[in-house]
Amino acid sequence: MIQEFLGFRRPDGSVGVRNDLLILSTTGLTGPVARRIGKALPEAKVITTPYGSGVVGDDGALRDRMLLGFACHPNVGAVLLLSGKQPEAEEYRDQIAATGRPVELLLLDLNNQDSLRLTDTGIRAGARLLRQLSRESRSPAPISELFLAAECGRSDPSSGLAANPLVGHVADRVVALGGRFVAGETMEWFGAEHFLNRRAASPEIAEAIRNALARRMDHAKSAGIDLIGNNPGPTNIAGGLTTLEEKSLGAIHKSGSSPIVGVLAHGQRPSGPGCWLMDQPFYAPESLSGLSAAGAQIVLFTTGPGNSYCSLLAPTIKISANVETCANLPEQIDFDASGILLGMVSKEEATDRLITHILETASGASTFGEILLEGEEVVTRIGASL
Amino acid sequence: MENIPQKVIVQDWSDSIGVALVPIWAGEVLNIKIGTETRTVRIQNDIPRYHKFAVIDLPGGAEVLKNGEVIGRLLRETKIGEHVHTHNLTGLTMK
Repeated sequence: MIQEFLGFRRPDGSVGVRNDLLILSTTGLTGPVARRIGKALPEAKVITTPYGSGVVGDDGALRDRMLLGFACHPNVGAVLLLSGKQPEAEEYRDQIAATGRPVELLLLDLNNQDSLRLTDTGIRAGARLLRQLSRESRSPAPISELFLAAECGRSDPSSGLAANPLVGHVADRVVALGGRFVAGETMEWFGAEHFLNRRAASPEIAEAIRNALARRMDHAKSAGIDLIGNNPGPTNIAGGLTTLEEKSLGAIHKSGSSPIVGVLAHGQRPSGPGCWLMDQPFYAPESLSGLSAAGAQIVLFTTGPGNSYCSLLAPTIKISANVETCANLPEQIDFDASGILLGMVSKEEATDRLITHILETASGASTFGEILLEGEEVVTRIGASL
Repeated sequence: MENIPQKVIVQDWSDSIGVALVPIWAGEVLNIKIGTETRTVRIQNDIPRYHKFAVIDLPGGAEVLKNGEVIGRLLRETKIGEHVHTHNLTGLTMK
């Protein structure tokens, strides 16, 4: 079995599985210009946020972390930065340049507030960056250079029985070989506390897991949402799930069984190898963007009945063990894991096949989400604007 | 046998339950792969798709393992082949 992939080595030591030009607009004012440049340069990826100014405190820190996380993502080879906020944008540019990535800053203030002139300048600068990126080539990298993330969206019984445990086996294999793995979606830990507590590498990490969950539970409670009284719900029970532990373990098994080496904030980059948890929102657009801003090169996304949404920067491999879903959504499901439930493949064979699929994707094979342009990134808000 | 899709799955060798992948009827006798061994189980109740049944005799109060992890405690004695659900299994952390 192959144990390496072909990636793009970055000056900051990371390895990209793509070599993207990112057009990043950090203010609402420059969003339309960024999208216009993106239309002229269809190879480039565009991320915009309407929240440029007046984002303060923890909310401001989160915005900085996510925007810089996208800009310095291993899969991003160069950045075209657009902004209507000069001092902040210059600070971003300097931080991106410090990673060794080519970066060009385009400011409305230095272009006479003229969005058309900014568009023209941007298309020209972007074209030069794309040409530069096209001259770079891939080189072999070991599995220890992989940073994978797990996500699930729309689950059914096949998820907990096969797809999530399969991703967990891959997580264990990658971590054992020195790679990084992250699972988020804090609300999913509810009911699996005993399992996560046992896996925490230190008492401090166990406490961080408990605290992260308690904060989300309090937040739900203050919004009048009762998560304890009716969980699993009637649909879960009719579907065969009996206890909360059973439901939660079915989800959290996608992080495998390795020791948990830390709890990351939303979008925070891990400081070393191992299996990490990320304290973050539960639902796919926000949660995927947190994993991507943290620098995950590839997302393993399990689904029961199907889910087309992807990360823009991290190729998102859709995995289903539901035989009907794999048959009905052949241009969405990248990896068919239904053989596990049909008894056609063993856990070990399925794990080997998925790792091979991941290494092929890391080396340049496209996911359906990339081909069909299903990806986006969003910056989460946690406070009110000024 | 090899080419017939399996009717049940036991995820881990240590598990006390299996999960029906198709509806199974009371009285059916299944040869179930559990880790490296094959165990013969006579199903005692009708088991809907994705519902659980015991693959060993379990005393009341026993912890039930699925995919190698505890998912709850039995409210009463449960025999091999019996349906395991809300009538005889309860969670540990929440009531």
